Amino acid sequence: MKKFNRRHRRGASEDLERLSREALNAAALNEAEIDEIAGASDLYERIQKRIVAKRTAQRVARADRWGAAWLDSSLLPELLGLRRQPRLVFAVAFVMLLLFVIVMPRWLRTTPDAPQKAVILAPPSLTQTSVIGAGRTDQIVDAKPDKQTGLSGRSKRAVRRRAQATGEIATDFIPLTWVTEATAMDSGQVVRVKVPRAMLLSIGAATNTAGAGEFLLADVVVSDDGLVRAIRLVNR
Amino acid sequence: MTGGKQADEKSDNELVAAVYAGDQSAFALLFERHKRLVTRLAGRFFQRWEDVEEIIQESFAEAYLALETFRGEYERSFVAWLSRITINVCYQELRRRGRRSESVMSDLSDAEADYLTERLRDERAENAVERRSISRDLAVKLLSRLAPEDRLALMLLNVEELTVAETAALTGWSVSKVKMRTHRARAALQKVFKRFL
Repeated sequence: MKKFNRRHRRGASEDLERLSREALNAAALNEAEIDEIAGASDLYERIQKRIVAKRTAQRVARADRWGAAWLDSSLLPELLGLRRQPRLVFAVAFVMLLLFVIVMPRWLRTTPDAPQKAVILAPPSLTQTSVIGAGRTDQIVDAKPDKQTGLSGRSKRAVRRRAQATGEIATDFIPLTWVTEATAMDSGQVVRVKVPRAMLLSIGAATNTAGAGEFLLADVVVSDDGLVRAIRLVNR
Repeated sequence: MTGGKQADEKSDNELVAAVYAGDQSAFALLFERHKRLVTRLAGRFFQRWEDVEEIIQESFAEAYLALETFRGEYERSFVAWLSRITINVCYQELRRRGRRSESVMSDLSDAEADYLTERLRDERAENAVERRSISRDLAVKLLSRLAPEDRLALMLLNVEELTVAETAALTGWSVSKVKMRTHRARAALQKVFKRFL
């Protein structure tokens, strides 16, 4: 009985297998239908149109993908290949950190000094001198100059270094005009001039009237608007 | 005439090289040469002519745009490469239809159920033409119950009579996946039959 059941099951399974095969074959197109479909006269033209359409769609999709990627910054590393090269990311980060460490102290040193409350016009004294440079003109290029004299810390140091080399003696810069926020200068030039000794009176310095006609060497700070903002006396 | 004869004698690889060089007529020749192959493959999965034409257009367009990936001399023949593209297009279309539930099949009619029973008993049909037309509709209904992967595996192994290795190469599946898929597909198809008998 068991053997009969097994044989019966196997027979039924084979019948189903045969029927499956028949169904699969029956669902397929026959040769005549294949010939008719493949022989359609305009089939190749339609394929050519399809190719053009697909190519255009690919271009548009590519353009959209790039546009979207630029908008979405999270995709930017992928576009640049950074996700595939983590070592490169670390190297770039390390170099940037190194640059920051090098540049930051310098940048901090060039920040402007604390603003002075008021300008005290004191007579120039050659005893509180600093050694000043002999350069004819010094371009002041600092973005944050001293509001009184127009000279930044960096420019002052540069002038002093040059002066030490030449051996000139000069006073500190004395402001000539009352500077407010509105008239504060951004940049200017240091110009070497000769001024009459009588001019010392105008900046409050005591002078000998006997030699009033003599000329003294002086450096003046001329701002971009043409006004002389500060002066210092130079002794060679 | 001589030029046409020479073009006919060119191999597929030479024609592909000519398409690379900008000769559009070479692609037309490739199309003429292999359009029956693509139609026959598409006709295994789709019965409506519009669908078959759509598959042909899509397959040749895909092939044209992917010609740069064809390395015939080192990899495989153009026929195998084109067949793989066609099979993929058919598979994608079957999956798309499955997702959109377009092929929801109605139950079998009484005549179809009788026919199945009759065929199972291996009785001879008197009107062969009528039986054939019923069989096509019935087969389509039955096969639409299968998953696209099952249908693909059965069609390639049972109808195209490819080996497991050839089926794996054509579909991009592993050999074990083809075996597993075929086993499941047969079981699924038999289950469909049993349901109606």
